Amino acid sequence: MADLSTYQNESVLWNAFRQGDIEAFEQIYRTHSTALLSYGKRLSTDHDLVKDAIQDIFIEIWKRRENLRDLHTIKFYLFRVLRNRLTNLQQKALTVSTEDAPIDEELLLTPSIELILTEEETLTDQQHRLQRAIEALPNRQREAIMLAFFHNFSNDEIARIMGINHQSVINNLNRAFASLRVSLTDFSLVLCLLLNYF
Amino acid sequence: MKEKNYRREDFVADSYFRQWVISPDDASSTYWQLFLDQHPEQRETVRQATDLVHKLSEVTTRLAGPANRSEEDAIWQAIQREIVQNQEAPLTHEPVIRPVWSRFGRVAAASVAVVAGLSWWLLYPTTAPLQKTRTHQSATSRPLQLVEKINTTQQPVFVVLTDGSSVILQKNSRLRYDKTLSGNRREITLEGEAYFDVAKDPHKPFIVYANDLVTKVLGTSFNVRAYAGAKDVVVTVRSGRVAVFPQADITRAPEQLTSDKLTGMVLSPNEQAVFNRTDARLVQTRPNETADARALAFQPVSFDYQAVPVREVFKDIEKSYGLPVVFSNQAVGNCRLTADLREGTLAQKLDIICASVEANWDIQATQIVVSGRGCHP
Repeated sequence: MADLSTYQNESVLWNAFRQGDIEAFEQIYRTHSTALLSYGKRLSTDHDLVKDAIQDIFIEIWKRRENLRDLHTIKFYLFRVLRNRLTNLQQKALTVSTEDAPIDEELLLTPSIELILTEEETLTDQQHRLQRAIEALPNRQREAIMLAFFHNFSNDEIARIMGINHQSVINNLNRAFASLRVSLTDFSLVLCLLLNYF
Repeated sequence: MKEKNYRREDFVADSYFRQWVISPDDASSTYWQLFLDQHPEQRETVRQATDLVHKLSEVTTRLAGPANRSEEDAIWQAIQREIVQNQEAPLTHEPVIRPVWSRFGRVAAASVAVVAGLSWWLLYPTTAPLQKTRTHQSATSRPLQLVEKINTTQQPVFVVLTDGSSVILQKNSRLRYDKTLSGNRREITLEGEAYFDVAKDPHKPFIVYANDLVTKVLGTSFNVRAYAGAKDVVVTVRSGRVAVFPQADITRAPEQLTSDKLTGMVLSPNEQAVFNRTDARLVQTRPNETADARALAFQPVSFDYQAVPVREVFKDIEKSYGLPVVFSNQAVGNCRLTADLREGTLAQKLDIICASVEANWDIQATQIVVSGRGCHP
């Protein structure tokens, strides 16, 4: 496998790819395949479907390489195309949402995550609990969290990947933060109350 | 963020804040430093928000699950296969495949404008040691989809053309041709050495341009050796009949290219033409067993099989064409074949064998890979 050092920099890599250099293309694939698989498997439990979709997308990219703009937009492009494809292929799995309901202000007033993650717990415990809490989030909230914190997309990019508006992304994130607090509060309600009110 | 008294969640939900925490740059550092200077009361909130971004970043990384390398490899294999089929290109790390249409499209258009109605020169970039090569194309508006295949490996590489012809490209050699092979003749430019197994099409001559020598056939197999630095071009015929003539002759008698007759020096099996580039002299010889070992190695084995395990059949293919054949599943080798494979190009032979034993073949790197369910011994 070629590594990036074969190419002096990203623009050399990108130009090589545009001219039909398969090694450059493999490099681009390898850069994004892990993240895409991970993202795709969160969107669909049918992993074969995800793999097929990723394969199709890269073949499409190869065919249309002349028209692609640059390397910096490709990650975003890949995510958006993958999501569209999976959404079309399995409509129902992704459309369950209460996303545009107003945020429950009550949730925002519950104890903050920092208080829950007290120093009395070990780091591992904190992480496990936060992890479980994220797993338990509604699909869209969890997706927004993953795109924002694991894949490091901006809110604008998340909006376009998920096909929702900018404000909805912020709402989803806030709702997720609120839910994380709630679900974690159940585990350590007493502790939180103590910290919060005394 | 202009107003005061944000909650830490407001920071965390802000992508510019996250970007600063995860991968700060000068602009974001300046921005957030300025923000803190103007809002000293938010210092603690910002600290907690920073902490939360780190925590969420860590936890989501764990949630993403471990990378599955074999799965990623499998997808890449599938992508490669698909691209190979569409480009009929040897597809691996070593041979470099470059569709050159985009680069040469402009040159081609300019040339047509100047010499419209005549045959024209197609100029390739003059990077040494590639010399100026001429392809004769009628000046129609049909866009050329030039494909270039370069074998930079140490092994021969197998290339299948759209018309079913097979080419075994030796190391340090390159082929250039219009991908669709449309038009009234099939034209290939060669630099280096290649063995051609040409699919029969009497109405569309197959023409190889190599170092000022033109080789024209209607459907046969032959080897051309024309390395850039060598003073001779050598054409060795294995089967069928082949016409060769100096490229300079074409200007005098362009119909030689299109006619469905073979004119010029006509070679029969095991005959050879040597073209001396210095004095443009073309002589007919007999292949020399030592010097032409490779060209002669492409000798037809019987290729007429009665219930022979395909393992043996593929051994004959390996021997005859000098290309390794591997089975993705050894049981495929047990299947038996009854067929007469004397006719047809290598690609056509492989198609017939694989169709008979319910297998598939594929070119991967420098070898032919055969996969299928296989048979009991």
